[in-house]
Amino acid sequence: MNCENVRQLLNEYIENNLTDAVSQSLSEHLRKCEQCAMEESILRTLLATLRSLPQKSAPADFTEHVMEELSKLDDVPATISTEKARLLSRLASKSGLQPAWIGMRMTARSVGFIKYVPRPTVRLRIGEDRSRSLTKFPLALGFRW
Amino acid sequence: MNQVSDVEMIRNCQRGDVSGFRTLVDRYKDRVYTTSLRIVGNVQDAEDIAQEAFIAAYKSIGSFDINRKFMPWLLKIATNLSIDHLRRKQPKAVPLDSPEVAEIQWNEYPLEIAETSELCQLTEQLVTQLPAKYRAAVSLYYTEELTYSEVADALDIPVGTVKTYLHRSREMLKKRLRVVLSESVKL
Repeated sequence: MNCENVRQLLNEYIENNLTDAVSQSLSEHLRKCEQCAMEESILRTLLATLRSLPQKSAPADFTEHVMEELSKLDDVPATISTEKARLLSRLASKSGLQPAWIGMRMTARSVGFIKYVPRPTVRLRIGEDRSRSLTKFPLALGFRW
Repeated sequence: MNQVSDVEMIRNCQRGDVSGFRTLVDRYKDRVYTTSLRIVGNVQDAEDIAQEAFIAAYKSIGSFDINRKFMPWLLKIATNLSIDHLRRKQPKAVPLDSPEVAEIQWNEYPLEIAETSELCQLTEQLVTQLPAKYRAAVSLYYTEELTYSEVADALDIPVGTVKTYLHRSREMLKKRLRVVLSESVKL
């Protein structure tokens, strides 16, 4: 193994990513070659230092600032979560409306762009006179703003 | 163990419970802040970017896949915001991954390296002078201990390019460190 090969493999050698045979051969070269040994020492120092660079502390009021900013947002994250998606499809199957329409309404309200979006309502028509109604179905679909 | 707790808190956030997110901010604020600081090199900008990163994470947490690790995802947001910030700040500057920047801008540093802390300080200063994408790769790989593929995902580059960035960064840092250490030995 010559000096050029050794220099190319030094990082992998220090990181223990070489096979035993290659590692052994590289170690032998380092014992004999002062310049490569110096290179190894510098690289080893550099890697150890890079790994031990201190973590900086965020300012003491950092969390409070973030939470304050979050409180200005609507409390529901803008993207519909899995649970909400499940709720959405249940709502859709009960109301007979397209899930996408209800989804648009929920998303629009959650991102705060549109404050007034009609809410679908389902009303039981028990006791009502349905003789003049177009349908005899006991449920009435409607909207509430 | 943290991963399990993270998952629980993320699930709570997805149900609309903001209090769990406070714990996530407390847990990761230093790492997000440090990553931003290493990339942008300015305390005030780093603080603003770190805050922005948490707010962006909260807004997207509804669609976060709980099978993913939270921390690399969060650092990816912070890294992208930091790099975007540098782009906005220096629109006509040398490309962020151009090695020429590092070749020409080494400053003079005290030559006597007696303590490990001084060596850390020196290395930290040298890292700030690497090109921005190299700084990001070095910070995410060595300080945050992300894997090659996690760094690649954060920077939106192939794994091979991450290895190239890290290799070039080591060469640049080693070159300067060699000079400083040899002068230190002579003293």
